[in-house]
Parts: sequence; C-alpha cells; structure tokens
Amino acid sequence: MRVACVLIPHYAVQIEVRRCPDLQGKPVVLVHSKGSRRFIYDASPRASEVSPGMALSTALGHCKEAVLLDANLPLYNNAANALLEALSRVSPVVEDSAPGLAYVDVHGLSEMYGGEARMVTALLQAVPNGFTPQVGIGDGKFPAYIAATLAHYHGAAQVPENPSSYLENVSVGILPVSFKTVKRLQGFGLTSLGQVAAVGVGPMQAQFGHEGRFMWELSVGTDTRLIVPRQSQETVTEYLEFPGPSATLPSLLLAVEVLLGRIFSLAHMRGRYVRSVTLEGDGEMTSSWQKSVSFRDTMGSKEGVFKVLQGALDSVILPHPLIGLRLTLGGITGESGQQGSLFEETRQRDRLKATMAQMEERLGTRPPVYVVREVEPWSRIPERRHALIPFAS
Amino acid sequence: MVENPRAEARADPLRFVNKPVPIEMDAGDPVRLLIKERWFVIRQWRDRWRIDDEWWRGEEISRMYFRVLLEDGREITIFRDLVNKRWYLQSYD
Repeated sequence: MRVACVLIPHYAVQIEVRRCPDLQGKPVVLVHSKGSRRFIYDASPRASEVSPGMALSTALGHCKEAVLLDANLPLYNNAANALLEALSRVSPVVEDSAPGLAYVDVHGLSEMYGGEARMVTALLQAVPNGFTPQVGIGDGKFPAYIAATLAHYHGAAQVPENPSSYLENVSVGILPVSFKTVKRLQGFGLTSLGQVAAVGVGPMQAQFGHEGRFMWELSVGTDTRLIVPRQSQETVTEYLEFPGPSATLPSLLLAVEVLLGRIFSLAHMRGRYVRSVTLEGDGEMTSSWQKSVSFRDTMGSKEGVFKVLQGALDSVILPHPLIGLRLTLGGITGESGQQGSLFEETRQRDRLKATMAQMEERLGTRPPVYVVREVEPWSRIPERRHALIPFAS
Repeated sequence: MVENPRAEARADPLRFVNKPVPIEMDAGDPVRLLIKERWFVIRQWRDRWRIDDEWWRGEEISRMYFRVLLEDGREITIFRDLVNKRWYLQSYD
C-alpha cells in the first residue's frame, strides 16, 4: 500500500505565525489551561527545550524569553479540517491522525498525476499557504512518517528500496507505542530501530507479545496498518462581525438568530435537517470561545434550532467580549428522523439508534453500548454462556 | 510539535459476561471471604458441585463450586479453581 504522510511540524505555532507574521523567528510558546493547571500545548523550534505537556513554570525556567500565547483550540481544529479537506481533493482516502499529521492513500495516483513527483507536488500545493509541510512516501504509514520527518520544509522524501538501512539510526522514541514500552526498550539497551531489528522477531515477541512483533516489523520497514479514512461531514457555516466588542446574552442571541436566518434561507438547505450546532466567538486579543449543542431529534427550521440554542445559552457566561461569531450546522440530513411504527419493539430500537447517533455527535466517538447475546447457553462454564456485542445502529 | 498518535486501530474483541471475580478466603473460624475489599462471614455451606472440562485442550478447567449463605443473608456462588488453587466469585444461574 503506497502511503503519503503529510506532516506539518509545530502545526499550532505555524497557525499563530500565519495569523501574526511578527511572531516569525520568535520563541513562541502556546499555553493551554485545564482547571487550575497551565501546561504547554506547542512551542516553536526556537524554544527548543520546551516540549508539549510541560508545566508552564518549568517551560519558563527553560526559556525565559518565551513569547507566551493562549492556545486557540477552535482555531487549530478549523485549520486542521481545512487542511484535511484540501488533501481530500488530491486523494479520497485521507486519515486524520493528529493535528498537523495526515496519511494519504496514494496507491495508483501517480499514474493519474503523471508520475510520483507530480503527485507529491499536488500534495504540497494542497496545503494552505503559510505552512511548511513535509511529505514522506513509503509502503506503509510508519515508513512514510519517518520519511516525512527526514524531509526538508516544503519538500518530500521517499523510503528507498531497502528500508532497514534507512531506519537503522532512527530512535525508538518514534515508534507508535506507549511511552512505557519505549522506556522498556531503552531499559534493554535498544535505543535505535536498527538495534530492535537486530534482536529478531522471536525474542521481541517473547518479551513484548503482540506489540513486540509490531515493533520489530516497523523497525524493518513493514507496516500493515490500514489507512482509516476520515468521515467527511457536510456542514454549513456563516460568520457575523459585531459592530463593537459585545459580551451580553441578548446581542449573542440576536447574532445567532441572524446567522440561522441566513443559513436556513440558502437554497440547498430547503427540506434539510440538522443534528448539531457549533458556535465560535472570536475575542479581540484573546482566544476563541466555543459552544456545541447536539439535538435529540433532527431539526429542520430556524425557529426550532433557535429555541434549543436559547435554552443552552441561557446560563452561559462569556469569558471575554466577542468581536465576531461563527455558527456551524452539522450532521445535515434529508430526513426528519421521526416515523410512526406498528411495532413498538422496532420503534424502541429506532429511538435507541437516534439517541446513540446524538451521543456519537456529542462525544465525537461511538458510545459504548452493547447488547447481551447468548453464545453457548448450554455451557457448563458460566462465562461462556453470554457475551456483549456492540449495538449495531 | 506534532504528537505521534501511538495508537493502533483494531476491532473490538468479543466480551464475555459473568467472568469470575478473584476473591480471598480466610479459612479460620469463622470462615471469611474478602470480596471487593470487604470481609464477609460464611454462615452456611448449602451446596457443592464440581465441573471438569476442556482437558483435551491443554488448558484444563477444573472447579469446585460452592453455594454459600453469608452472615448478611445473601446467598452467593463461589468456586475453588483446582488448577491454580485460587478462589473466585461467580454466578451460576
């Protein structure tokens, strides 16, 4: 499987620099707050001793001249989505692996683009301006990732015919396994992929089990993991700029009403229903404010959505005055989702499906709902009689 | 810095229910069971039966089940794994 890895190192910092070019070349450090804890979200290469996850106080000890900024997560998410959308125009199979890291299935694409070099150029050109992407091409996700880390800015690298020699001196810290496993590897004196490969698959499997085999295969350049394509979701977004900074609920609701009116008057929204809404407010100097609401039933009118939002925003206290508001409707569908049924059991199942879809929308992941099924009800061993299987919606 | 995802996509395994829960047995007088960090005194041993299965697979199952009445009036099923010599709590209904 031919894979391209598109890597944008220090993605969040690059977004901030793109927004404010004066930050170029400065030791920018992005800070994120979780409760009372403040830790580092990302840092520019100039702040070399600062790493993500580090406490702010420690980071300042390492880099006194750091330019501190609040991490603007909604902005980074939007930029990441824009990047993935752009890459989707080059290949239909794109995996959203992490912010600033995407895998693209390029099998058979080079013929379409007139050669691998042209295809890589198309990938590099798809990345929005202002970023410094690095592209790696290989037979599998891991070799492609390594190639991307070794490529120059705005450049590409390809894994050679014999990937083992290419990977020999790469640190084991780059393996996609837990930090604990990496520490165990280092405890055995295995610090590079070449050393892991030299140990052999048998001893690695004996010591680390399935993970050992996986690590050994990666160390010799074999990665059989498939690309998990991102589910693209149809959304509609509208933006409104306030005449002046505003922090009151009435002005926020008025803006919401205007934006909903604009969206529901669009021709392609006629007869369509929505499942979720996201509000993002831009502050003047500070980071964005965000609020997401998922609906129990799909909504097909401005009034219905507004009523739910009115209730959801009632207790909201804005952290800072807003200068603009962006409203995004998601989960757009052509069905109202409600239909009567003669059979109550079927109807209950439909309701459960609808609730699960709503939870999935809210949580961003499939809810852990299972059904108990008989496997060997006659078994003398009690734990063999029943099993949980995922509820299929 | 872009983080390595460090995750592998894999299908959900089949999850069996009613798995045995390890417990501790204090064979003093009275006999006590440590279940989820709480001690329970056994008032009465009501029934017992043995199952031996899957010896042909190399991972033999050999258990002695007991139906016991606890001091608080609850009736539970426990078993002694005759292979690893440990005690477990498991419903048998």
